[in-house]
Amino acid sequence: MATLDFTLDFNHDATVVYDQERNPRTLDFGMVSGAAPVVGMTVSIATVIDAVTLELSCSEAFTIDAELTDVRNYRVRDSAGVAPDLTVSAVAQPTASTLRLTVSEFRTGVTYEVEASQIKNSVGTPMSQGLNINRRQFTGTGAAPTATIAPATGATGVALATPISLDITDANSGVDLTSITITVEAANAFVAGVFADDYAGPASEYTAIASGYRIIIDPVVDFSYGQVVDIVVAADDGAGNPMA
Amino acid sequence: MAIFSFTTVTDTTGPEIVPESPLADAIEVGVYSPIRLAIGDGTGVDLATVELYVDGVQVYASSAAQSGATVAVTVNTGNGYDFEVQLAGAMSAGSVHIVTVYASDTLAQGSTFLYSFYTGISPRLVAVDNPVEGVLIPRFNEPMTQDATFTLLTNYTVTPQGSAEALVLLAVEASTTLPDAATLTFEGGTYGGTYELTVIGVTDLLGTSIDTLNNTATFTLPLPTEANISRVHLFDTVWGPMGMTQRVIKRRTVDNLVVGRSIAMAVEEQLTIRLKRLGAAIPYRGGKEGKNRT
Repeated sequence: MATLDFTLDFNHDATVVYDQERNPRTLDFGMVSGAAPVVGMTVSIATVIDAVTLELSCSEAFTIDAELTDVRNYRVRDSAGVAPDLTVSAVAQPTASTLRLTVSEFRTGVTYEVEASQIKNSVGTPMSQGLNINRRQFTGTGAAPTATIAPATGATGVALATPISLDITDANSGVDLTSITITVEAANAFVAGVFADDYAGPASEYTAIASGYRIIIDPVVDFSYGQVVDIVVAADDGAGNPMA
Repeated sequence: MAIFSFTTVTDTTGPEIVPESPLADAIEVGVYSPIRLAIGDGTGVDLATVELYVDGVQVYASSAAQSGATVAVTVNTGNGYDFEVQLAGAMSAGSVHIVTVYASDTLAQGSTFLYSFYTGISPRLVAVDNPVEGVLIPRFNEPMTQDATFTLLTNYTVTPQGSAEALVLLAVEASTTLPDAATLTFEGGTYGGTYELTVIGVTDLLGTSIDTLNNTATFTLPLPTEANISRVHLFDTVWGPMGMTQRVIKRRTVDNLVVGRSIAMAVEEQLTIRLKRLGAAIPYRGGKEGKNRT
């Protein structure tokens, strides 16, 4: 009888290699190429709860220990490697087989992959490694930054020399100053932290506020009587989500 | 991307009319000077509504010059027009001239503006005399209105120059015999000191206020004359008051040397008093040092 030595690699395509008289062959275990065999507990579903919360539903109840809620045992990253890795700041266990991760904000439309390690089922068997076992992909949904303006939109009877004040904020990841573009009457007034000459009046300034920036635009030339002043604001938050 | 909009206030006022030359209340305006003014408005000036009058004579109306005047109209940056009016002839000298402007904007909101200027020289302070001790006479270039403002002490200010001591004005009086002057009484001051008098608020007979560029004059308090200098009576100093008979008797009995020494002391005292008033150091001793007796 020949001796058969082989290795199963469930982290990648299932390949079985054996060495018999130095004549390698591939054995068919009846597996789909690229799919790991399901062994023990798995992460069944990864659900985006909100812009900073991800819920992992697992196939079995956990062994509740310190490692289960240790943020270092979880990793959330852009599967394409474009967007930066998210930071896991907290792990909660709402049910016997469910975890909730608090992460830095998702970018809408990006496919992320969450990886859990050091998780054991109720009898202490560690979760195996592999996509759809301890790793699960999902699509992120972030929250857009918001802007408030004074004078309020729709206001009438606004004085001609009134500066425009805008608060652009994002509670989850802040606002990227370099992404801010504000146009007044279809002309750039503020782009990436710089005021256009026509809008660099003495009161023009921008300051950092909680979760964003306050931008005051003082036109050099006052508005005219009865003018309908249109302002368009574009900005991204810290995760790259654009203003809606 | 967020989109906002608001609407500015609507124009509810008529055009703004601004004199440019001469300015309102200007003085010393030349009789041939052109009259320049600007009319602006937030929504625009309706040129056809503009009317200009100088001393009641219409010089511009219905978009055309009137009464022989020449009027140049140019568009300005204030949604309006600049006007330059050259009258057909010279304005009268030494008098007030009134410019009246009517204009409406394109929303038919009208404005009226009236201002005046003065041709000729306005009242000026030309000199200050000090004819007698304690009296100053500020003189103007024309007769003045001698009213309560004219005699208001706070309208006159004397400022010492250099090291001169302060001079305190006590009163201002007007005199019908000197209509172009006032009489100030004062105390203090330094003989030989220089001062500057400033007069404000007073007006001439036409009501034109004193020219604030020509309302100051400097003057010097002269040195005291023999008529007003303090006196030291020789015999009072030496002998004290005495009757004439007593003086004669006494003088006959006093040694000539004693009399001569008394005269010398009195003269020195007078000299000391005069030098003090001039602010000089007091020379107590003069001449050569004496020799010790051997």
